[in-house]
Amino acid sequence: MKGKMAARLLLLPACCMLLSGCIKIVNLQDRAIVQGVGVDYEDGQYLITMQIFSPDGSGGQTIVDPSKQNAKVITCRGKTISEAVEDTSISQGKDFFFGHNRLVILGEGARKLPLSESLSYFINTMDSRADVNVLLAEDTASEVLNADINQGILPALTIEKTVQNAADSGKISEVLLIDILRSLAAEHQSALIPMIAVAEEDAAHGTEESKKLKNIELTGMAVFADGFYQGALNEQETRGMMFLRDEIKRTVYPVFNEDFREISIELYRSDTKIIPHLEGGDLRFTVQINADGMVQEKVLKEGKTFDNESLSRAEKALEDTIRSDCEAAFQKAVLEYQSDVFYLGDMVWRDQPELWEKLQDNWKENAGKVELNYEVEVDIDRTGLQENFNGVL
Amino acid sequence: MLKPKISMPQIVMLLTLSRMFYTLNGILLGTGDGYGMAYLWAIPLSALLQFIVVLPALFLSRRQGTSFITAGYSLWGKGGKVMALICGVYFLLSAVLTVFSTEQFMVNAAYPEASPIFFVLTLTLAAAYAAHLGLESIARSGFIIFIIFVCGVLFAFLGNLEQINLIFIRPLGTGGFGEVLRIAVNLTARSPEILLFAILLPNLGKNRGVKRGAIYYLLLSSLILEVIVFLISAVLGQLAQEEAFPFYTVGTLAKISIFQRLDAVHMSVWVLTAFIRTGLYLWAAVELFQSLIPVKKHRFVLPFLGILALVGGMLCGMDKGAANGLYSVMFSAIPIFILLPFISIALLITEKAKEPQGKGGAGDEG
Amino acid sequence: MEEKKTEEKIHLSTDLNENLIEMRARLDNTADFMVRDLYINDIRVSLVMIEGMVSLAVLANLVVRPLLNEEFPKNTAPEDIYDFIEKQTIMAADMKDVFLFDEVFKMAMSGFVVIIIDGIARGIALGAQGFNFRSISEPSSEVNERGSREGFTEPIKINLTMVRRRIKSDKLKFESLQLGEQSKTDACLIYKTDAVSQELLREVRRRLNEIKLDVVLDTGYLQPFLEGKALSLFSEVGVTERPDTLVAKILEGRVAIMLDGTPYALIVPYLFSENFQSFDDYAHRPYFATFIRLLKYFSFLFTIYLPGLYVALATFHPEALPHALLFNIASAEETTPFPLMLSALIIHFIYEIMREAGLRLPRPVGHAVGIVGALVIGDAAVTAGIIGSPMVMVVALTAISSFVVPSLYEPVSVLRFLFIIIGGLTGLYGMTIASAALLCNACRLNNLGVPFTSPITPFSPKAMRDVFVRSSWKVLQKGTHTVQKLRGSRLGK
Repeated sequence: MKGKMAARLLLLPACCMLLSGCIKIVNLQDRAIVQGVGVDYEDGQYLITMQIFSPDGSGGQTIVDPSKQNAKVITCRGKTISEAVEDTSISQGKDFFFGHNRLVILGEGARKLPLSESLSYFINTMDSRADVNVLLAEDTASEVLNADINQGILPALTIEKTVQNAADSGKISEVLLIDILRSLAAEHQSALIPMIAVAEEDAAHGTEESKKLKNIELTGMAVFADGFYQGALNEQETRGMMFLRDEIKRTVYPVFNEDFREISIELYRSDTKIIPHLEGGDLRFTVQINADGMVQEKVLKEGKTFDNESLSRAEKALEDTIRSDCEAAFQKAVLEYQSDVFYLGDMVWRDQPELWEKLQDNWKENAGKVELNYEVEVDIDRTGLQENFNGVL
Repeated sequence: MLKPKISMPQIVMLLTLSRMFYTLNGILLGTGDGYGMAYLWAIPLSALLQFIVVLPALFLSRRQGTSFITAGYSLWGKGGKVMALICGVYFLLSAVLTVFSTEQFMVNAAYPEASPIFFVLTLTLAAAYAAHLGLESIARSGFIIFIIFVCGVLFAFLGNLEQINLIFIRPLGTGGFGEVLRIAVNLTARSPEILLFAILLPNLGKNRGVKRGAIYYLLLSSLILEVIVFLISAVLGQLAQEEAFPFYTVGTLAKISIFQRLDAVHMSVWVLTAFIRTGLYLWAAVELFQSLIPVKKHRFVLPFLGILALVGGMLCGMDKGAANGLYSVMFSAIPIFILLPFISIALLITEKAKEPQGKGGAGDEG
Repeated sequence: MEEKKTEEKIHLSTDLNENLIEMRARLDNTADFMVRDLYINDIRVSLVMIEGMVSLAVLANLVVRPLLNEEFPKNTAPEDIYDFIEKQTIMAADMKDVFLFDEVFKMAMSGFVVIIIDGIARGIALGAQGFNFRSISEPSSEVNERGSREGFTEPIKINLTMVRRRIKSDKLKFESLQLGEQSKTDACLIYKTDAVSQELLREVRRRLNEIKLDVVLDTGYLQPFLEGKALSLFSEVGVTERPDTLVAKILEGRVAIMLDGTPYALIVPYLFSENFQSFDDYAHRPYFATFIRLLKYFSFLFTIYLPGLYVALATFHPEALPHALLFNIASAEETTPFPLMLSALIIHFIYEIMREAGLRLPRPVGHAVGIVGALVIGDAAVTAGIIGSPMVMVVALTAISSFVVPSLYEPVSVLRFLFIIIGGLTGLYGMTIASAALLCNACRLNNLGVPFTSPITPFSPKAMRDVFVRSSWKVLQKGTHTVQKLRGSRLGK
């Protein structure tokens, strides 16, 4: 009896398979795998550029040829992004699949819109990922996605890798969609987005025809406040910003001082703490930066030796540089652009909740009055393989 | 027929798993409340509240040697039947809500173009099958699924280490203890597992260590809840309030080497959790309803309740108003704070009153 | 029915001629029924046997020569001859008095020679088996690197000897019984009296007594009767061809059932985790044995889930695949005519056809099947663009993995197809629900009072020392863990 009942109960789920018509099945052949999306806005319309995976010359074999582009770029227009994507999907005959999307690039036109509007499609679509890289193009997003980059399987993957490498080297901060969403959820709606541009380079000498190779370069960080674009940070300010946000994993600083014609220090470890405190009724932040460095290359000036004192002087010069970078970033981002990208408000809220109650309504103005005190300490503890160090280490 | 016997560790794991289900879509934590320090403090406070709430039932169980439902039958006669009916309906509605929540999750997060009826039907049928197989089967498979669940949480945690930033955790603010208490009460109200614990006691192999079992369940579930809430708070910050499925979002961000974008795997873990929870509640409802009717008709109870759960799940899916109404009733403090402690205390008083004169001391059977 | 039985149970009479006529009539003068007569002082002594079953040399040395050489006195009675035979043939392997015709037939058909003396209404059955049987050889289904090369053979007596040699204990008991109304096949329950649970024994006997089959030719016929009532893909009865494995199981309080005519013995109760244990594990070093155990568990999951997961992920959840892999799969599937689920089903079906064909074909031809399968079907199908090469790789991996745990091949084959269909139609959600239901079903099995999924769940820490890991012998020697001691076991002592 129990067996019969169990059998019947088991049979029913099997019959449910007949309900499989309730789930839409999209075969892999019918999916257009989107790797990069560009959002431009002109004449009241969105111009969406999508780079999709299109295998070149695979046939019955499976190996994807990395020497080929393997990408197809599709452009579509619409009053909303959804409309643009939908129209193109119908004409293409394939379902656009954003599950493997690596990049969302906002063009110059889209930058003028509030962030929440230009990114709304990617926030709400189930397909789209929260860990997709977001970039801001200096010109148009379509120019970036159309750049003829012959590296890796797909250009979009190359761009993503470039962004990651730049973040690892302390050149820019890698920003994912989730970071922007998090910022937009906060009251200040401050966000940072790396900026990308397309650069043309001439080919090396010796080739019969000069071929213009397109390359992409990361030019700094765009600053947003209240969800709107405010301006950009240059390279120096970007690095200072990364120090203040404790995002430096590794970065190289060249130092030129009385001892060295040039000494390059790689900071391989960095730790930043920002502590809010009151000083006589005024809000102050103490920024403590501790970094460890190693000598990558050095050229001593004539008559100079590489010893403890010269190393200390190099460390001091580096500390000053870091201090000025941080101050520059703070001046630009917080004072000029009124963007709280360093979570100063959150720190006050956490450590001084009663004070935050008073300050939170006019935080932008109040933030403009704060000062940062820097306590930077750089310790160069690795001097490299050259044997001319005269000192105890 | 041998009554199924399960061990205290099995009960602890089953109930922990069941409680974790609602962390998926934040229902456990109510709407409008942000994640942050207040929740992190509220979780242990809620554990304490739940322990206080279940204590009378545990005490009654030790004295009577049985669950408080059976005690209700012996002490209150027909009143016990009413109690069993109310508890049965409560568990059935919990099963319906679980099915509905899973269906909502599936159509919003994983299969946007699928028909909701598919998920309602398959989950209810599978859970009914589990309920039919019995508590032993559910408890044993619950152990395996619990391990899978813990691995899932661990992966989400380790994969999000880079995203964690303590500054994103909303501070306690000036709300202070009041806010913590309010959240703790909400959490307690959304935890029918503590009621189920009291009902599962007769199924224990040995009735010893019941209090210890309750403590272990509360500690374990609170620990896992702390990890989940910490993760949500430290990764999403204030975004968590706006997310429909915050822990799922956190899970999708987890990345270890080439293992990334494993939303589907996280979805599977939650489906397993939903399966166990629905099966467990259906089983409990079946047991309670069976105690109300003659033995000859017992075999109709499961199909009947299965169909009710199916219809309930579909109705909630079609009418959001009905779903919200059901949520507000089920998650008010009334079911947990009335069904469990007050009724247990009332039964203890009745037992004391019925005790013949001259018989002293507690009948300690543990 | 019972009256008919009573009619057939005819007692031997004192008239030898009458007995022989009755026997020939009952056997319808079958060609292999042989009777040899001796005369001792005019008293007729008949040796009844089945041609080819008895060793004539043994018979001659044991019975004929002593009888003929003995000088019996003139007034020798038939009882004296009977007593002489009993004393003289003390060295016979088996000796039994038979009183009924049924018993005479049974003994004769088991290779005994039945001596019936005129004037006595009983006979002596002497074991003088001389039929040909397969010699002890390495078991074909359970091959090990180390350990004994002996496997069971068809005659039950030889198998029992192999078991007895391995447990030299007075507690080892063999309990004989007969199964099959017509075949009357000899069977034997083997257990250790100080380890086995009486409840378990009673239940096994009860289930075997319920068997009303006419013919029992293999232990496979007995399996359904020993399994529980719950529907399940997994077998709750263990099968082994190795005496060392059987002995190890008996020491854990299990009952073994051996049947004459088959080298496969049954063991109850049987746990899921035992499918992953082999005798080799105990010969290798613990770390390697642990590695192999984990490999087996992984292979089991791999072979069930890999094709279904591949189909489900590629169709419904492509974001879970690393991008390089996804691109390769997308390129491969770009030109194939079938959707992934269909191509998975087709290729797996073809594989099953090849495997079955290879099994049934004679050995020389069997190799050719492998070559045809691999080269023609696999490679050509990919080159022609009918199936993508990732799919062929998936089926190859799946096939190899399925042979790591051969005892689970039956459920694995079915589950593989099931998960391909479910994965292809519903994605990971459907596979999850199906797996959960399957898990519940397996956890439900409680055959003979022992949970099938024990000691994994209900978790028995002490017994786990030999499940996922193989603890060293220094640990394993600390007390044998019997099935009664498993958590969740309902067996008493």
